[in-house]
Amino acid sequence: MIIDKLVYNSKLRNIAPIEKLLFSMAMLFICIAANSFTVSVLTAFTMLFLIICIGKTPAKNVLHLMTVPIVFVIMGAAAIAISIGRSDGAMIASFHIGGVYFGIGCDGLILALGTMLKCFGAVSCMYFLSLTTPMIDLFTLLRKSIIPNFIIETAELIYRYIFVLFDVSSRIHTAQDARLGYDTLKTSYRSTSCLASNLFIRSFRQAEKTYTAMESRGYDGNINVIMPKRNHCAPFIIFAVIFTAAALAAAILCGRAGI
Amino acid sequence: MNIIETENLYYKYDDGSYALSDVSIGFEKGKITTILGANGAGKSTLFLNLNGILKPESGTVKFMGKSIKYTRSEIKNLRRSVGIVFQDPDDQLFSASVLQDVSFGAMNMKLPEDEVMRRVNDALERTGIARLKDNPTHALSFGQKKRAAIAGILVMKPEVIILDEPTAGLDPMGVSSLMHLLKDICQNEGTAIIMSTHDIDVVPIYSDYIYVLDRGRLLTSGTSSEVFKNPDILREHNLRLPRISHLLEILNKCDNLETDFSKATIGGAREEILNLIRSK
Repeated sequence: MIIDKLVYNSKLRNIAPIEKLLFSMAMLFICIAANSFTVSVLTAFTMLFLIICIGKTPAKNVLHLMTVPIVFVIMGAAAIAISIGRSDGAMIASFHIGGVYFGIGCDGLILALGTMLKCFGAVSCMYFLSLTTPMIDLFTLLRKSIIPNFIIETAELIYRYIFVLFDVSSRIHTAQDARLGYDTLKTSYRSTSCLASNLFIRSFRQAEKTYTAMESRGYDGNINVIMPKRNHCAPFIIFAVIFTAAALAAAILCGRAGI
Repeated sequence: MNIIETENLYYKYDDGSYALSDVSIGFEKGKITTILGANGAGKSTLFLNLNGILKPESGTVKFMGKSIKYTRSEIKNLRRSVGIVFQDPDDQLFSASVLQDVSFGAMNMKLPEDEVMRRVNDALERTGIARLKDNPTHALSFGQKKRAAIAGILVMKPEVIILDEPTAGLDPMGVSSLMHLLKDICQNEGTAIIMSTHDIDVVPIYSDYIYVLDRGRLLTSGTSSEVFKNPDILREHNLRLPRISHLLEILNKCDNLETDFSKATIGGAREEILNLIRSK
């Protein structure tokens, strides 16, 4: 939910979604394909710079969001860093159980560090897209793609009603809490199950009501809505092309130099 | 002439009880007609019958003098001409984008896109939410959502607009600006406005005609002064007089002053009081 609030305040929000999508995907691809420390770090910095300095999304929120995948990244990197062998020759530090050595090798360490940086580079590309492009813009974009319309329409309805149901559930929760519904573990269990079954019934009714309301506005099986035209933002396109080219050049150079 | 009317309309619920029985009422262009009735009086069911969502058990709904035959094309036409603004805007606003939601009805009419855009901007302007058109629906306040729901109907330029309790949940300023908007639509476009409300004090100020429903039956009807002339009928059916009429009624009955308690607006009451003072 916090992402949804931040995205509408981003200064980059009004740039045509297609431009942001192409830019972030290009950077994501280069970052992953380059497999280089420098390019990964460069990508992460570019994206964070755009989100924080140009988009004016508070740095605190962005950094907090960056820590969300950190657990997975560290766990994944640890698995890569630790190697198992019959001897500890190539290992910097190790311990052994019986004749099997567990340790961290130099190669493993570099690989783990590279993977970690690559992850952060890639994640920052995704955050760039999700912190500057509202869902409704993405849906508009998707409607123009080859994905069948009914799938996108369903996604749109789900997105809209997540907020309605979230609101309903928090109100029910407050009402239960006000009557000591979450006082003990036992009552908490009961209240939670009541909340869940109530939400189910409510969403059922909600669907019925929404269908009636849509019918009365001439719903014919397709959700026909206007697609707002977006003006292209020349400075952003120039910036995006320069940065993508720079990242590509860096990727090639670093690939040759092996850094 | 009535733009839309019902004749001996009966509607049966699934459980066999009647939601509407023998309702014959009509609505004029360029007038605001209010349906009064306690909870469960059948107001919402009536509205869905007027728009062709529900089909009556017997009796007819007539649009521009012709009875509806419930063929696909006739129903489509009826829904295009009779717009309903539902009570809870969250039921109606299905899209996360205000702009797209408002455009839905007009797009379903297969209008050209620039015409849709023109109507959407016009409707957003008139309902006073033009600056919110790029906001997500869930970031709107209740009053703003209600306005967006009305804008979604205005784009269809219907001859009849039905509003199910439009004033419910709005703050006092919200109520009066909404009622001004409705008055404006009704006078400038000649739209027939039909609304139900529990806000009985608002009724005499804006209504040209009133129907009172009780448990699916038409109890009484008339202009505001005709309906409020018989407070006892209203009270027997869980309704009441507007506060101003009630005051005039108390002055009349308890204090034996010559007041006409069918006057229900501030202007009317002022006239009555001035008359009393002058006659002393």
